[in-house]
Amino acid sequence: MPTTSSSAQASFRRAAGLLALLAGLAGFAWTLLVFQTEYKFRKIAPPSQYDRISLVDYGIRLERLLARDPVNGDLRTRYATVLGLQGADDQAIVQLQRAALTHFQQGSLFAQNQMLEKRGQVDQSEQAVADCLRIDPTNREYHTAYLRLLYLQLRRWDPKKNPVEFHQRGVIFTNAVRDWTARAPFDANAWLFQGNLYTRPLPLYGQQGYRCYLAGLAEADHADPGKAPSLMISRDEAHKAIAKLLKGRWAKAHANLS
Amino acid sequence: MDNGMKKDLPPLNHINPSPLDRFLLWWLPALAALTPLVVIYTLLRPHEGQSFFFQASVWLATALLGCGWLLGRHALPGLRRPVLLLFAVNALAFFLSLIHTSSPLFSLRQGLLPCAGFLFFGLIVISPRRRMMLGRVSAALIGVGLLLALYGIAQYFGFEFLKYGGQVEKNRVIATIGHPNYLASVLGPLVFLILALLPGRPDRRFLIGGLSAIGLLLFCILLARTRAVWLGIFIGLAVAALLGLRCALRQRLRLRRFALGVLVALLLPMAAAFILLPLAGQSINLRERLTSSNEIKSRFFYWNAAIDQGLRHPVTGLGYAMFDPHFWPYAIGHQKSSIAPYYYDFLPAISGRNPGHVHNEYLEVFCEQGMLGLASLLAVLGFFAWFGGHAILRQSGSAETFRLCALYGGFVMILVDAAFSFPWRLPVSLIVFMVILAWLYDSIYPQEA
Repeated sequence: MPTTSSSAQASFRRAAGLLALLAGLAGFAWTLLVFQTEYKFRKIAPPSQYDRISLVDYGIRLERLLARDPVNGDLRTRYATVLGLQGADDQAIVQLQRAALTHFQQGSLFAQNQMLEKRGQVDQSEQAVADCLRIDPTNREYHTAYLRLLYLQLRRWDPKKNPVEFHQRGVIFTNAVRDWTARAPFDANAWLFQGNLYTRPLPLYGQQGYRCYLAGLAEADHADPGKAPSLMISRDEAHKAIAKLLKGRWAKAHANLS
Repeated sequence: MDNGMKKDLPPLNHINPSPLDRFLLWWLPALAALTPLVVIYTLLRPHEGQSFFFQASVWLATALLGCGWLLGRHALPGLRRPVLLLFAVNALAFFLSLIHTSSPLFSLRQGLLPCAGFLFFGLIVISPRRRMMLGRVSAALIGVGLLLALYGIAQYFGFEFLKYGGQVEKNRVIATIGHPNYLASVLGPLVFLILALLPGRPDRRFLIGGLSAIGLLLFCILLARTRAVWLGIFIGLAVAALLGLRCALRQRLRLRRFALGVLVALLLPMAAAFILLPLAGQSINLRERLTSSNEIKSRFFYWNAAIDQGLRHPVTGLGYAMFDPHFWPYAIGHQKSSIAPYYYDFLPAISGRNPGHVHNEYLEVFCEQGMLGLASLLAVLGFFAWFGGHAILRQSGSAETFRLCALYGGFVMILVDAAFSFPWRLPVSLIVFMVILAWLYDSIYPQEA
């Protein structure tokens, strides 16, 4: 009947109108909130990591922004970095893990590794940086961090008192060094590091060490000048090591591992 | 097949345009024109937010429309159309995908943009002056698209005055709106939109202007070196030509005119490639573009990751916008598996950055919304493909037929581009797609005269 039909239509129209109005306002308000939060986040310049008062203030401002947009991964990662700089590593790791739910970055995983290492959780730190290397096997920073951790693990064992454990950790360390060269053959530092491996902590393998030092120096010479990384073992040190090898003497281990 | 009009709803043309309709008649075209400019503006600043303007405007327009319905100042249009039901199923698939998402709030937040796109489509098709709306929006897009193409070409030759922020990856064609793929996804369909405006125009100057505009757009797309859009344009033109030929034979239209149209459509890209490029002292190394191994490897890995991730929750998917956050944990797990060594050479192509998207809309929908989402998406696209084609075959006049063939070609071009890129996840290319869909909707359900 026309009257019932028209009143039903009117009710339907009002219901649709209310739904559209509420949805439209909600969508508009949320869009505005998200954009405003992002804008303020980008506008605030991060302070120097040595200015503790400004860091605390910056952290508070980031916390307020996070309350408005809790799923902003970039914002939460920055907040975690600030917490880490303030020494609150536990909270920083929690924030990094929350940020990873919406914005997983390789750098965040590496940052977690560094915080875990600071807390003395070497095993978890080793696992985290190993995961970083799985997905970025040519990254020099990840390799050196990983090798440093493995070397620290190796030094926990005395070769005479704990020969089995020392040997096991030695194998892991050796494989990691060789893996770096295999995955990043154009990285001079990988070869120089491997050259070091064959002089200490392993027993001296002079010929292999000599070969690796030469390969490393050759890669350093042929690297693109604009992209050449700084050498972990300087040319002078490498030449001295080669000279000692040729004279049949031990070469000095790289300082960063000690 | 009826045109879906329900007898108990008043024809739309009997409704005089309300103030809100008149407002939307100029606001939506302005939105289409301003969104790319706002995107450029945001790229000059070190912050995100290129979707903000489009999203906020559309949601606000929706609220105004709802207010009009609530107060009885605006008539409710006929809503019972199969395509709207299909969109509703898509919305259901989106909400069901929230079951497995690791952050429902994030998925909902990211869903604001595609919802705004659908609302933009809805605002166009429910307009009482739909054809006028479509004409204005198309003109606005073409106007701003030509500006983007001009600036993209100028950038390629080193002339630029905009200082982009660090978030823009430099390329030989910076593409003004952030990436050459993005620009090509916008300009490619505009080629077909301009082609659609040409049939039936008696003014020769309009014809020359239109062909010149197409040449300019094609030249910019060539310089952008975007393989997906090249392929899309080729397939789109081929589909449009075949459809036009079928219509011409069926309706016994003048084949000479049709053949001339096809010849022009084929000559334009060739002219851009073999005349304009050499004149500009440039060339395209097609072999290098087709075999750039790092890009192809990264695409394959993303697609592989999307399929593997989607199979974890095949019905409802991982959750909207969850491909990127889950990509690196997946890659880590993948590299711990026994098949990792076979993928060692893929890693340099993907390391050090986040993929953002799968670079294939269909696989991304499967990954994030499961079989339900993919099936509903394909249903919507299939609806427009099938009934849009039938609508073209129904036409009687040659100008209207060829116009719709060009639009259909644009639709096909976007579908091909979506298989290699993510045009529906960025505001400007989403607007263009919605306009093409609205044109097809208009051909399927012509507004009552």
